Amino acid sequence: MRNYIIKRILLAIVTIFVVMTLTFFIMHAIPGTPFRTGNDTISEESLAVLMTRYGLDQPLYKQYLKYVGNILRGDFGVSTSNGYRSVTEIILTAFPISADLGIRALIFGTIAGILLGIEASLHRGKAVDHLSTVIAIIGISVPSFVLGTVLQTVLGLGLSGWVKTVFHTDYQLFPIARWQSFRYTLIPSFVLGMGTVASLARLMRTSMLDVIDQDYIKTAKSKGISGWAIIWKHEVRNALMPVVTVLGRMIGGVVTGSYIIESQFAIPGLGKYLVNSITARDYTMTMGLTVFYSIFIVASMLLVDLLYCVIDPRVRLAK
Amino acid sequence: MEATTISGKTAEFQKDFTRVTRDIEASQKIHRESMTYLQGVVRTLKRNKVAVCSLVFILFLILVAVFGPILFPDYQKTDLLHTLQAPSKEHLLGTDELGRDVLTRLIRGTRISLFIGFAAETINLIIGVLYGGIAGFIGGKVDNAMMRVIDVLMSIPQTLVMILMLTVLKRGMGTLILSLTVTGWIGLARLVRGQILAMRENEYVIAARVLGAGKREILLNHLIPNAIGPIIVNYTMSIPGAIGAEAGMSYLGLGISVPEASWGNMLQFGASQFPASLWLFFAPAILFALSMLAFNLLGDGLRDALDPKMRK
Amino acid sequence: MIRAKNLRQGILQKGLALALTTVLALGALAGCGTYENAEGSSASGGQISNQSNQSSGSGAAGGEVITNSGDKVVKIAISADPEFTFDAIGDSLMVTNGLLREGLTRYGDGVLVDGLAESYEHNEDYTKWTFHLRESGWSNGEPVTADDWVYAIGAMLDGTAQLSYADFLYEIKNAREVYTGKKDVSELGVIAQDEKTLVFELAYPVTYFPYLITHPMHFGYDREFTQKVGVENIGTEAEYSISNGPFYVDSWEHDNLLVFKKNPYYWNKDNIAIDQVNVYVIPNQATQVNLFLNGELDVVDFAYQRLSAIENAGFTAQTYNNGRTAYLNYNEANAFLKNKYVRQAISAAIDRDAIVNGVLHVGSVADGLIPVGLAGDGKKTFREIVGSNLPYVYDVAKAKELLQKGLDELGLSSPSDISFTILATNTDEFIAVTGAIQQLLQDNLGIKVDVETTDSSALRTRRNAYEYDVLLQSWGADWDDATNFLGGYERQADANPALFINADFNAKYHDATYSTDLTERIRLLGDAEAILLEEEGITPLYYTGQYYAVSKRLEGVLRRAVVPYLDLYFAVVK
Repeated sequence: MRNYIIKRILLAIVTIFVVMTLTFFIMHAIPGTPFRTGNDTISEESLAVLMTRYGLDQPLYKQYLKYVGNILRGDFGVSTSNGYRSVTEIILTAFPISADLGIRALIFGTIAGILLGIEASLHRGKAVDHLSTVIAIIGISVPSFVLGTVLQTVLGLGLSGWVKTVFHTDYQLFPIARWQSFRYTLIPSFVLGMGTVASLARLMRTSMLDVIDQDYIKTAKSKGISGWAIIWKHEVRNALMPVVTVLGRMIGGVVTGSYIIESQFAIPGLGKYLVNSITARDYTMTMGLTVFYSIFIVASMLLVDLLYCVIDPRVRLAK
Repeated sequence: MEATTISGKTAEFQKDFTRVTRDIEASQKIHRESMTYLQGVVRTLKRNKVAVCSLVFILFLILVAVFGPILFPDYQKTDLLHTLQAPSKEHLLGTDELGRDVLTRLIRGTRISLFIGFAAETINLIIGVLYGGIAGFIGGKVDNAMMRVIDVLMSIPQTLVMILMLTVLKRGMGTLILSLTVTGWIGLARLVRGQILAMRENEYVIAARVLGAGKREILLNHLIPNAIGPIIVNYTMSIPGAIGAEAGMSYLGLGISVPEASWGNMLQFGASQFPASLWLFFAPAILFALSMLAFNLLGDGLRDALDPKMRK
Repeated sequence: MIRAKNLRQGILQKGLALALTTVLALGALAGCGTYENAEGSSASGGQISNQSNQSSGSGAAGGEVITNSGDKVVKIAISADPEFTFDAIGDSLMVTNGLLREGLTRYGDGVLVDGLAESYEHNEDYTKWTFHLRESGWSNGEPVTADDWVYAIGAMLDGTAQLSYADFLYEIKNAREVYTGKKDVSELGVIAQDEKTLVFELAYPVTYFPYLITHPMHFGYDREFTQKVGVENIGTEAEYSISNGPFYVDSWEHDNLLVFKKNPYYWNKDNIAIDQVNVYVIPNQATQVNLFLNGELDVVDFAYQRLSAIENAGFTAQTYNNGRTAYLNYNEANAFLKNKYVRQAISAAIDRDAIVNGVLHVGSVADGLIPVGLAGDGKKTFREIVGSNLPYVYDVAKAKELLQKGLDELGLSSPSDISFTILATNTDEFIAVTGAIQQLLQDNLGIKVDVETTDSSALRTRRNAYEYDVLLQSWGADWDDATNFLGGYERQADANPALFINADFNAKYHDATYSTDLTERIRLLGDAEAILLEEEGITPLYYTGQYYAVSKRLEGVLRRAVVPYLDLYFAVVK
């Protein structure tokens, strides 16, 4: 077991290193420079001075070696597109918020998805089943900016306006945007969690249907255990297994994929840095984020795999 | 007490019945017509009304995508005097900010979006099946190395890959499809590999091997056909994912760019106008949602039909 | 692969419970604990201010409770986290120039008003300007001195501090030489004669210097403070920023909220009617409008499609000219576009009126490169003095005639032989306008045009490498003078993507530079503009405009064609 973990961690480090190297060379291959690039023109002469000052006129391999050296010393550099703030500080400030949003979405998505899946499987082929399928599919396929726009306008603005005229109070159940208290998190977490709801509901339904056919369920039934006890103690618990394995992979997706929602609801998360740094050719920021996200994704996958070992002894044997 | 009554009744029954001898031939006869796997699939699918409706709708979309733009070619035609017009007799779904007819653009968008979905997922299918198949079948060190490559690809945030691709290369449909396929095949490759690993140990494969079948024969005749069900289901269900990804990229300004039409950029523009000019929002949104439903419900139907265990 | 049907319950139960508990516990840790207390508590703004508290001392007053009763608080939104570096560019301009650091002069309502200079004078040929500073203080209590300017401008040019557009400072004597390392910073033409007397020596006459120095790049910064916190940190956190203007940054939660409070050492603080400005970072414009409609913002810019929503809610929709001109730039290396008649035909074939009224619904038709509202001789604006300079206005017959001439010269038989691509940034505005131009050229001239849109960074690289046929771009004024627009066409080396070189233009521009008669100078610049446009080196299309609305409790908000686009200096809260 210990050897396995050590091997996995070594592999993870190699993986991150490869990812870093790949991104470095791809980023530097994109046309453009990291110096401010609005509509205004900067002379070639000034540009050359800037390039020299930041060592960007050096041969690429030298820049690479310097970059790797800095990273090993824990220095991710400063972000040229964000007022020259330190990349590490930006990540440490913004990531907890993205993670907060992601985890809320994941909790909502997991609970709602599992319940929806159970409900559908128990009423297979009936209206509830079809309805849950439709909800699931809409949730997974309607882009989040569409859902976000509609909910923000209808629930955020419309409902608050209605409350204001009818009850003469400024209380907002669903605030329009920003990230302040629990109420503010409702719509964004819902929108981001819809994807999870959808995939989990479908997975849970299939998994439940698989379990329902198993012999031990028949045994349990023939032993006269009550319906609810069978459902909760046997069917749901067993059907949850594949869901848990998928959940691990979802963490990465939910946490890194929240840019659109963060932008729409003015949530100060990390998403915008990922998108903007590439457009702004902010090499240090892009590289820092890539390395950080890779570590995050690799770590969460590693965790899930270790969880397998704990849960399922066959995996241990196989290795 | 019970037992005596029953035995008493049995004696009574015997008076009314005659003993029938066992007809061996009849008992051996199979009344159900013999059916190939494919016939079975089609039959189960036909019974599933939802899946049939979905299939019809998708076929209709494909027809629109192929012939629609030929019949209504003026999707770029602007009319600056009639911008943002609500639906009317001349423009059934209204006009957009440059006075272009929304219906015509929606038809054109259907072609573009479906093409992106099918093209990207077909490429993913080919790469995924080959990659997963090879890794799963050869196994050992090769499998190990191939899985490491997948590890690396999976550790890069998908958004980053797509934005990078769309920034580096000339923006357009080709690049978009390419960016959807850089990491898009991984899920399928893992699925196929898993299926093959599991099946390799099945009795019929062992039997085939014992009977002297070559590796190639086993792969082509046994493993791939048996894995085909989940692959087809995965393919059907991932097409809407690709179409949706294009819509997401449109929000970042990296999708198909106007004046070309796609569901994604129409949806993005409609949402940016919301709640004004609602036709610009609802026209693409409803079509988009219906198509997503159709692909997924067809996928569900196919899963039931292709999996013999699920067949009733 | 683990398949559901193979699982046996006994193995699972523990692991599953463990996994779920972990997820829930994680959620409780990272999630619930963070924000639920934030609302209504003055202790902290949650996670963000906790973070910044760790890295520094102040900023503890962040969070939600900032509206102390009786304070006159104005709430505005910006679309991106600002940058308060020495050179202060980007989105922050809108905020900083009006509220934070102050220049030697300041904009009022269309005229210059008092800034940190009590008075100033210049020598006969406008190459030496002397400023007498008034008694005023930085927000940390340090006095404003002439050394602030000597230090800040020197530090930007010698590479100590960040500087993105050195070109903006090149009118100062030896600035170019210092930036490129040919001369020492001690030779720079910014001199502190004594603590309150600041002298600028210029490389050439600049009659509009008092306008030029309203740009934050010409602002000072306190040497001692900078050296204390480190020049690389300046403007990155609230506690690393000070201001010599009416407000200073009191707290700053990145990407979320900045609170500006009144600078108690500012010379004119008694005439500032606002006590506090809350600057929210709201990236999405539609979200900004929703917040405004709900009374959570006092000023908002909005797009045409929200006009009815704003008006239905009882607000007055207003527009302002934001001082940008959109125009087509030609790459004269292109075989078709190097022909003057083809370019003139393009200009005559574009229905600018339809673009402004049918597509943009705001702004006005361009009658030259210099936008309306830009300053002229101090009494009249540039356009009022010069008038229209657009030689080829919309006229389809004329356009066809011009195109025929062009075709004859090029030896082509039909308009369809001409084809080129219009390149533009992928903003909503340009996507719509390029679509309209494409159609107009197709309908009116029969020329097949392709459109390509890309991000601004890629666009700039291609522009500098001349990898385009036609470029749709817009240029905004950084300082209030026509040289801001025309200067780029004087030399080939610098900002001249059109590759436009014309001896007559250069002669007029040179004469204007050295003219010390303010009105005559504008006339000469007008002549230069006329040459540029007659040659169709560029084709102006429209002056951009912007819709905005102000809440009913706020009065005296200024919007203008040059930065700061939004000025609350004279605003009053009812």
